[in-house]
Amino acid sequence: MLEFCIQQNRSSLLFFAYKFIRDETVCEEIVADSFFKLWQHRARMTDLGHIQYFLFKTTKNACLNHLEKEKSSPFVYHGLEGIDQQDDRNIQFDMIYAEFIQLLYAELDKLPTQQAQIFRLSYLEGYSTEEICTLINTTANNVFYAKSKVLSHLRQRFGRNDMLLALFLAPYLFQHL
Amino acid sequence: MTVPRDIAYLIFHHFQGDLTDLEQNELQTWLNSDPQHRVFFEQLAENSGWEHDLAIWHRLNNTSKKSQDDQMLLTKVMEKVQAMEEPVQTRKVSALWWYAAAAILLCCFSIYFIVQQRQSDKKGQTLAYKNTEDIKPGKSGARLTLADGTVIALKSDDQGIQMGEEIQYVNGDRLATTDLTNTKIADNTLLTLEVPVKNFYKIILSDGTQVWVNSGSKLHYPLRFEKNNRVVELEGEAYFEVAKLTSNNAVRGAKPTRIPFLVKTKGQLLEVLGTKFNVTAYPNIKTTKTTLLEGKVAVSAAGYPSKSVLLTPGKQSSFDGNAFQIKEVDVDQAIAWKDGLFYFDGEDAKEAFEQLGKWYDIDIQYIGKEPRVAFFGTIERNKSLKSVVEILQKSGVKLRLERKADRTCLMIEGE
Repeated sequence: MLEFCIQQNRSSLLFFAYKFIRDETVCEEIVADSFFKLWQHRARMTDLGHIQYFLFKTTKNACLNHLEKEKSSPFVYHGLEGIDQQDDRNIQFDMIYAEFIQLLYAELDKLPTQQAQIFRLSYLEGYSTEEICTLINTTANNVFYAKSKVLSHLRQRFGRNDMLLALFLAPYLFQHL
Repeated sequence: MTVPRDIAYLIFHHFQGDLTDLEQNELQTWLNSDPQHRVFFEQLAENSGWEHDLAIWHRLNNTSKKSQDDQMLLTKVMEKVQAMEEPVQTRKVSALWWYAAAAILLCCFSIYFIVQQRQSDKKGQTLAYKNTEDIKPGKSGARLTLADGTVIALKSDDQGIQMGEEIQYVNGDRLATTDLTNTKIADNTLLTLEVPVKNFYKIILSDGTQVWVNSGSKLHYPLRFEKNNRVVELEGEAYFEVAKLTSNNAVRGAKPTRIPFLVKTKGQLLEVLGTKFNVTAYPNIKTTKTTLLEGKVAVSAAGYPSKSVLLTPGKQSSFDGNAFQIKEVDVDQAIAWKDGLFYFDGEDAKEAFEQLGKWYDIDIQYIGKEPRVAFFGTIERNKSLKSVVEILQKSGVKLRLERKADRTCLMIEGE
């Protein structure tokens, strides 16, 4: 059961924790702690939704405690919501958002291999076109071609919501086209 | 109730434009149910922070290593679980020392026994009992109570009964009650196996788990367990050999999981996957004792899963309703009753005397302080009370039987 919960929630919890604390090692420790607490309270869990909520709530509290301890930490995240608003609804939104990013990320896997690779390199890992050319041994033209392919693929995927797509890809478009 | 994962799916596919009408309705319902939901949704639609968060996700979660990372985390969590149990466990002593101690103990015991034997031969027999008739030992026997209140007296049979398509004796005999065939018993209704004082009984449950129920105990269990849920309730003492069961409807991608077996006793919840253990939880005794022979069990205070303790073989937990104490014990002593023996272990004889009291339905009284009894060894339970008392006396234990207000009482003198 614990194994299943980990499979279902590890990625999104790690992401969630990282939004508070920009330190992967600390985040991993906090997430491990949350699963340990889940194990301690396992008899009280009613369903998978309850488990997910418990994990997020526990992780959030641990993150806030950690930030409290290290007030001077430069890695404080001020993101979608104010940190001190700790109500359940925010936790619910955090969970939805993490799941949403997971779906979006999975969408990238549906791209053809080289296109996805180029997209990842430029978009997710911040490489410039020139660097990509050297890395995967291709020409600048190929890189531009792949990028436009990715764009049209995502445009298809996101179909009717062109404005959203534009917003989504705006920084990318301005930089590279 | 819609879970976050479903909402995320609805929003994502709304953006992709491939929601079915039904799903679109579902999303609208969620958006309309709370103004905050709509605010969140609109923020999400406008938010250009995605690429940033995608990059974070990408850095943290390497899809190709996912199962490996999951496994690493699982190991880490289990280490934490173990570490939590560590402080309450007794210090590990090298096995060699135990062998040495056992050898020395054996020598002392032999010498002591011989000396005592000679002394009592010289002195002659002391009077063991006054005005008491001999008491016969207990035997196998129990009553089975069905959900509708029907009580079936089970015949004396060391192999006991078995829950299967129907209830029958392990040796194949049908239950004597004839009208049972007409009584429709639903799978999940609880049956009660009641073992009176001076009796014991063995039962095989529908999942193949074997339970030896000791004198003066009750076991509540369903005729047939549900597919993924095995729970029984115990008042008194029983020894379990739990059958290992694996769920066959494993979730996609996940390994098939073991189906836990739960034993509820007063104030304590015990969870195992498949193992051998003994539980003593008599209603009139404050302490619940759990002794593990094989495998692993987790015991916790009912309603307080955080107060839980993991036992390893050879360990015994005592729960007084508040806290668990763990010690290393001689597991043979804990389950001697199941093999038809009283097991005396020197100073720890109190347990054996309690067993003796239950088995012959007599009271036990100690004269003096602690019952320090220098007797090591086993006595078979199928002897009459007089024979057992004689054996103990010959071995130098000072005790006698007395008649007190219609009850037989065994008086034991401390040293």
